[in-house]
Amino acid sequence: MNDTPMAEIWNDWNRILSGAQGFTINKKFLNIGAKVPLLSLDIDIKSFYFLWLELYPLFMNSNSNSIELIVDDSDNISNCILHKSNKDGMYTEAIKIEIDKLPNFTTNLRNVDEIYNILGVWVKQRYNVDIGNLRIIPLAFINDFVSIYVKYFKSGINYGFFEMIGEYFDVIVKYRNQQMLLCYPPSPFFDFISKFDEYFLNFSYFAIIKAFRSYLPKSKMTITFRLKDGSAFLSYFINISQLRISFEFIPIPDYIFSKNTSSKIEDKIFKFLKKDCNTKHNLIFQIEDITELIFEVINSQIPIQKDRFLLIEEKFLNFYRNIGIPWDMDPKPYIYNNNFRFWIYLLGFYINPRKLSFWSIPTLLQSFLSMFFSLTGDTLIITGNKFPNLTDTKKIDKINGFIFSMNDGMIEKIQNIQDSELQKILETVKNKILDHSEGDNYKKSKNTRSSILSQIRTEFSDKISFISSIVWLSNDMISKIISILLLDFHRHNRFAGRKLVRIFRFFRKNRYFSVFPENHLYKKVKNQNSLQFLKSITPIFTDLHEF
Amino acid sequence: MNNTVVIAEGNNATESLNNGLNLLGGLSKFLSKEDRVLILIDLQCPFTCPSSINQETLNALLSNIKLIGVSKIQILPGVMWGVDQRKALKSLGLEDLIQNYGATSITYEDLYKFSAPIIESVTKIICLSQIRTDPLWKLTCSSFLMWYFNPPKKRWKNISIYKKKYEDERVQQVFEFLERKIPTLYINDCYFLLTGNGPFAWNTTKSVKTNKIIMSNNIMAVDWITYEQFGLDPTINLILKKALEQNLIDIKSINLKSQVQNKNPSIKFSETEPTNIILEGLTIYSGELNSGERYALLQFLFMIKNLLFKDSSNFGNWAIIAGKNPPDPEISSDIIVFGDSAIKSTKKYNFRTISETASEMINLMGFEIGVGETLEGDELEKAILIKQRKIRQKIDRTRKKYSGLIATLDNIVQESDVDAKSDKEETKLKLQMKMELKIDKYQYKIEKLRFNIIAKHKKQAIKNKLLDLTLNKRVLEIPGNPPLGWDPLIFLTYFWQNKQISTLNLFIQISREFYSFPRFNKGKIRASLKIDKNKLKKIEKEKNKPLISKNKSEMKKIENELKSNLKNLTLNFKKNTKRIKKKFV
Repeated sequence: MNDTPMAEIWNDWNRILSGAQGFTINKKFLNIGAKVPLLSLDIDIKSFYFLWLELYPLFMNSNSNSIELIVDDSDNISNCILHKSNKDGMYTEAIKIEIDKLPNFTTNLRNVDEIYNILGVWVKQRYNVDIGNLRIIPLAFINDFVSIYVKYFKSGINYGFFEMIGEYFDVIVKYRNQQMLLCYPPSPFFDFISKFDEYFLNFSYFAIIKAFRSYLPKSKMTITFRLKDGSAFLSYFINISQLRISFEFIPIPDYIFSKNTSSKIEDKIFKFLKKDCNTKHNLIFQIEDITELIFEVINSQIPIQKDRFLLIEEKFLNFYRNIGIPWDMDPKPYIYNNNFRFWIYLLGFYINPRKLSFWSIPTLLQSFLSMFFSLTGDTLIITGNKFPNLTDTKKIDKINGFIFSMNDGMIEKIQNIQDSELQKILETVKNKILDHSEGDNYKKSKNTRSSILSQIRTEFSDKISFISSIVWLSNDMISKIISILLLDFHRHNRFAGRKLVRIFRFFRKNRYFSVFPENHLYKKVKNQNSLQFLKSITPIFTDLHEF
Repeated sequence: MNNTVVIAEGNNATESLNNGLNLLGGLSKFLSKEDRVLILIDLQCPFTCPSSINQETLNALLSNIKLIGVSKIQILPGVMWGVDQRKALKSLGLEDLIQNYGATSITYEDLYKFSAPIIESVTKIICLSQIRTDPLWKLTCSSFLMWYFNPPKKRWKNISIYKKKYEDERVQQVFEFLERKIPTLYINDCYFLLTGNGPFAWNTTKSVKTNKIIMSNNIMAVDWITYEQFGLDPTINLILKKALEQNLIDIKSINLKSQVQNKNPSIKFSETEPTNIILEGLTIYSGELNSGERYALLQFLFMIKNLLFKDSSNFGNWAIIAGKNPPDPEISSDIIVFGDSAIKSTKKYNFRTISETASEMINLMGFEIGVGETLEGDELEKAILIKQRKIRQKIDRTRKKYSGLIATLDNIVQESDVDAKSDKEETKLKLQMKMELKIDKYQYKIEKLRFNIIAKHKKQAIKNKLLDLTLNKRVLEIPGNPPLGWDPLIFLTYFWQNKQISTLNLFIQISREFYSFPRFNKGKIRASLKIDKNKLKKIEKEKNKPLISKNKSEMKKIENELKSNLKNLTLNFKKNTKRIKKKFV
């Protein structure tokens, strides 16, 4: 039993519970390590304790005493666990309750509010505990979770951490939408992630996270979370390679927290991490601000309305520009240096991340994209490693297609186009092009990327559904843009800011990006010198009152 | 005229249009193989649907026409002032779309070409109108779009040159076109409906899906029903109003075929009052606005509300003046005079000039230079006291310092022997003398300062009597009766610095591709400014002539008075110094 994955997960959880219980009694944390159940991430008890307290409200309501009913396929209760928590809201004890001792409730298990009321009174009488949550978990759900865990940890090393999270999410969505995984009061986070299924056809978190993972650049960094007003810091060394992402827990030594020196704890942590991990990207996030942002997102209605979406964007930009408070990094890019920025200003580049015009950027971007790109209608976005080869007899590379249905400048629906359908369309277009071509020169002159996209649009509109525009995005460009925005722009390098120019260069090259019809905004980006274009748009993104 | 109007719905625009055509009895009832069809499409500004035509509706319409196999399909994009028709079509990908159906696009020049006007050969017209909210008639619809059969210059000629009423002219032009009696199918496409302040103000608009398309062979009937569908009084539309007055429409005889299940969502209409448009720091001063000016001003305000959304925070206070005889703005900052009538009627307004006489006090590294506001009576006394404060503080400090020293000496004297006592007494007297001399010097400075300040303010008051005006350079005139399309935007770019209006600049750079902005002649503007300046100086000179000699004598008088006062003061000071020295020696 002890070797089974379930026992492993249960042991991890029990170790945390005993650590939390120890703190509740002795008011002191023992310096012992633990593993985050299901994720198998190393952590110390103190950090887990505070991390739990910060994140728990995202999942359940603040009274964390809860009762869990595990039900089998025929809706029979097979197990019941009472989770008791201390005053802070951290679980300290898990009590298994014998099923035959539970009060009789004849009601359907879907009536969670009724069951909650019955069990609430019973638990209060029997264990003197006020329960805050009731969770009904199908056994199949637990088995699915465990099998995902086994799948990713069978060799001891996790090769797909993000993909694993995606699969966990998909399982949650599946059971919630089948009304099998139930919570009372409802969980804001689970409710939010389950709503997407209705509006996005063939939606899968696994697919999205897998795609996102493939775009992540190779890098090494440390990420530290500041917990509970600085009472604990949780640090990980993250190594992203092509094959895997590894998380290494870095315990912060006690001397960092000694009050002998005047420097800030964050600075001392950065110094320690830079020395210990030898990384060029070291980030600290205040977990409280992150949960606040997540709350903003998960409290939105799906589909998110335009005003709400703009507000969320503003909050994220405000988070980013407030470097030093909700987040920080070390070493900081030169652009944060006033002297350096002064010279940049003299050259006419108004770049200052601290003065990012968070209140206007989302509205202006929305306006410009709505004006020139798409306010309503369907847009087909095709992605792949290479632009579909339709001008000669060679085989067409695999490409992915998505239809974005827009209304009022917002995405209303995303539909994944089946590979076979897309290939059929491309084959038809290819045959037409080859039939009409009279010679190589003719092919080159007539079949530009734009005209090919136009023909795909016509064919797609005839065969599947009308699309107003079509966009080609190369996978290479997406990963390079992510790399520039996340890493290169934030490097401690004098020319890091220039990397932004490369983004516009990608849009200028047809092999990376192409759009039909070529709207005027795209034409402007395509025809103007990238550096000049950056110069002309930086005052839009920056609040000017500075020196 | 057939009075059948159909309202159709569908899950997409294609379905809605096909359902509508079926309800009408099929497109073949209207078109035959011999027909040369002209389709007027709504491309007022070349942005995506519903700012302009819904491409899917056009695609579905062309596909239906192709099935009938008419002899020719021509497409005329109805564009606003300044927009290039072909470029607009291309930028939306419509050129390719219409070519797929063997149709060709034509321009206004082709339509009314002197040698062979296409309009003469057209046998059937289809007017495909995209419904949007509008400040003038609340909704754009077929009767709104029919005006676009005329080229922009012809549309505005009588209004801007012969000063005809905008609304009347618009109604007349549409009726004139209808007199050609070419059979027309009117399609009011409200599958997507643009609400709020229309296609120029994206931050205050919303695209609403109603899934409906309304169509008929009768322009009056189709528009009447469209207005009613959205809970509006159809007589807001002046064409419908005139048609009703002339008995061109019989409401009771409208045969409405509706296949509608969904209710219309609530719609926010355009703002119709310019002063209700709020932008940071902006005050709007509007006089009597005729309908054309009101329309142009609203379109201008909608545009700048979007394009200066962020940039307006860089301007401080600013104002827009429009209409005939607007109120004189109270602020003296950046002022935009919009339209010919405002330019003409505000030529003699106070904001046009600024006075140079009220010189401002400059504070340079703690030193105040200049007089500032001229003061009299108590206020002047208060200002003098403030200026004298530092010297009075010096007197206090001197008194404190020397009194302390004398008190210490007194203490020492009591404990010293006789020889030392006399030495100390001598030192004490010296200190007392020094103190009194210093205080006397400071008193002299205080009085001197007082005379100087009074004289300065008196001189300034006399100078202020002279007119010294200069043209307010922070006034921008946007000509036009009314200023049309996006033309006014170009004037703004020369008024503010590039970095101040970066969003507007970007928009202009992008829209230059399809919009022909007027040339901004800097030299001409500078020359007219110079003329105005010279005129102003001339007037100033004439008005100041009788005052100059009088002022000169008054100034001399003040200077003499000041001299004699200072002389007396210096004499008194010297006397006092002697007296003090005598007292102690």
